[in-house]
Amino acid sequence: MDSRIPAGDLQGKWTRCKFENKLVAPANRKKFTVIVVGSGLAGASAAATLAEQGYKVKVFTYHDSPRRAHSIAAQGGINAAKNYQNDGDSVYRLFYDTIKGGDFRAREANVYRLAEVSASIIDQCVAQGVPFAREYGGTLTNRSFGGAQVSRTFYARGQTGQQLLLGAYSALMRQYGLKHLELHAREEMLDLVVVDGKARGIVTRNLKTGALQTHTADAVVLATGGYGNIFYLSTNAKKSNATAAWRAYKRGALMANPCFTQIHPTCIPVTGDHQSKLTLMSESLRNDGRVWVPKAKGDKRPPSQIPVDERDYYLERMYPSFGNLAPRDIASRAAKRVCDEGRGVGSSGLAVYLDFADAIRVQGKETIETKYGNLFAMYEKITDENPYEVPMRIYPAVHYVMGGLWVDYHLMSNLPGLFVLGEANFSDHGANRLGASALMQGLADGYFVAPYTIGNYLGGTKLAPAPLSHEAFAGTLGDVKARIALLSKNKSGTSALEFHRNLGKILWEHCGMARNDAGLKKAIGEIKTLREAFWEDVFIPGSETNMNSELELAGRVADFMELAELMCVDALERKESCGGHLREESQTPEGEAQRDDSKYCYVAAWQYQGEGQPAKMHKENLVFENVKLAERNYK
Amino acid sequence: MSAGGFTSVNTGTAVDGNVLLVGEARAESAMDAAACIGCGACVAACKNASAMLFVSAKVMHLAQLPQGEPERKTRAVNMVAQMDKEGFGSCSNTGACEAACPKEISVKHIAKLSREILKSKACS
Repeated sequence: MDSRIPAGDLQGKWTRCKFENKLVAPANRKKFTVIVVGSGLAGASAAATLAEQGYKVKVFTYHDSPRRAHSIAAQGGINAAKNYQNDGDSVYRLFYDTIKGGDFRAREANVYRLAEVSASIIDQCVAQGVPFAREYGGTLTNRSFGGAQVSRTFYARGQTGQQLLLGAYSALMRQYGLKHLELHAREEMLDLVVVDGKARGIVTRNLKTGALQTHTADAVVLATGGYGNIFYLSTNAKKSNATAAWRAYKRGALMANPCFTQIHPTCIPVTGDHQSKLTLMSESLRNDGRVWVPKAKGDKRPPSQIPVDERDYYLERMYPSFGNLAPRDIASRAAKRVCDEGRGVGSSGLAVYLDFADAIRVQGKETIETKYGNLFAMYEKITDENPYEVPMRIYPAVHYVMGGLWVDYHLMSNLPGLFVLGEANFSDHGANRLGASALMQGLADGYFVAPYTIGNYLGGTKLAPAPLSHEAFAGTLGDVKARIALLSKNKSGTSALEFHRNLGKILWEHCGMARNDAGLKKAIGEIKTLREAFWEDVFIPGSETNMNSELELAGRVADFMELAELMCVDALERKESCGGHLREESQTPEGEAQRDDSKYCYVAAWQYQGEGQPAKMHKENLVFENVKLAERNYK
Repeated sequence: MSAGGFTSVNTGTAVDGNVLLVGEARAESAMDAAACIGCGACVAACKNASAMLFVSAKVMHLAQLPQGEPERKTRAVNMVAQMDKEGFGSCSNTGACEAACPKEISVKHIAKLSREILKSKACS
């Protein structure tokens, strides 16, 4: 496992890497084909850029249009070290904040590069016409996000993800119009084809016709997002899944830190069993909203009747210097703690208030409406409560996964020719991601990193032809067919959705914000039993040779079942608290998370060992040459 | 979109974001148009099955920004031509699209698009 981090000082690493990269001459680029799976920020930006450079690009998405990717749902913003606000920001500070925010479990070199290219992302997006918010004088404006003491977040109302995705999508469609790339919509990747140890193609299923197809290429890019939906209830789109990444894992790619999931502090609370997903309220709301619960346990008075001195503004009390803008993991754990104490609000007692009364009094309703209008409207639509008048109720929910396929500095997996971008890889966020960094990472990977490193791979590797007639394609296609047949064998039974819901409950209970040895062992046992029951009893109505959303779901749930076990194994192995995860055996006397750098300062990369065999762990030790490992203190 | 709903700018060629100044009111107005989610409700609501609200939102988002200026005329003409080619109907200003739009895109964009078309044809 070679992480291929360039030697030399941190600031010069990326420049040196780019210079040392092998190049492909412009006239030769059209001889290379690159498959890009996924059309979110990372996939669309990579595909557009590679096509601009002259490579032959094939884009696959299971949506009806690339613009439906889940990146679109991001609300709050995108970070960049522009220092437009003249408040002391710099590339180094963004790098440091991100490393610290990730609880020192990310690679220095990767994170520094992310901070370094962040400014170019903003320039690129502005040039595409992304309507970022502006000052009256016409310059770009910023807001603050959790875990930072500077304003470096660029935003387009509460729909930054949508606007950035439309930017990347427009670049993609421009290349499509110029016939520089092929677009395969409604095609879901079901397996990776490996030829002579290199990723050379994929097997897809056409979601409209059910037809299975093989595709060959010189390199495969996975930009397939995260697997947060494994918890059943999450803020992810219902379709988001782990299948592409998990199939790559089963073909030999390493899966890194799978237990690192992010629990976002500001989501609309769960209301009951009927719910199919959760809705996020942007973290940017914490700029102006104040988080509180009643001081007394079980205080059921309506919020307006609880006087200020009987309220506990616990984030401001516990973390005075960051206050309501404490990082996500810290804010989530604090919310869980006050609710566990019995001070939660709402009918379930699993919620805290996010109150805008003070902000509205000081800034006026109109200003608040300009900043967060669409978020307030969305909240009111879902809860039937008007947040201009009563405080919002929020509770943490699964939102993002920091874990993912292992990649080196070039964003290439240990399987040569397989590149993994965006949330699908594990690289930049350590054990916790700061707000407004996911958009930054997706676009950094797609616009500014992968197009260089893929060129290096193609220019520096001898690739034998891999025609579709090669036996590996037929073999992999056969595996996919056999799996679909196995899934569809039952004539009656239980729906995949029911299994998914039960799996989610196990994970949320034992592998969520707080974990312990006994709980994780119990979860592993329960997951195994549930998995056996799944294969025994899952029932898929309809046919496999036309559109069948039940079949799609069952395939995804089957993969979640396997990944869930690996998550618990990974969590069990990591006996420290770090980032969003409190390992109950590892706490400070005040109940804060206690990291253990002497034993766990590494990336756990798991290798598949065959059906029924325990996965093998490889450790990539994290070396910190520039920052000092410190206790994360946001007080 | 591939008929012109973009600015022709390759990755890596952009100038600093603050070089292109956009006044707050103009940026907000462009954002109003950019808020379109492409859901198709406007086309479904239209008795002529016209996609004018969608096309005008994209054209007017970019027409109001300096970044969109170089391709302003061709974008408007090409996108409308593509819409016609794909068999969408013409607009007869009933306003059903605006009423159906979940993102409150205004029909004024359609009027502005017509003006864009007129200008590009008159000045070409």
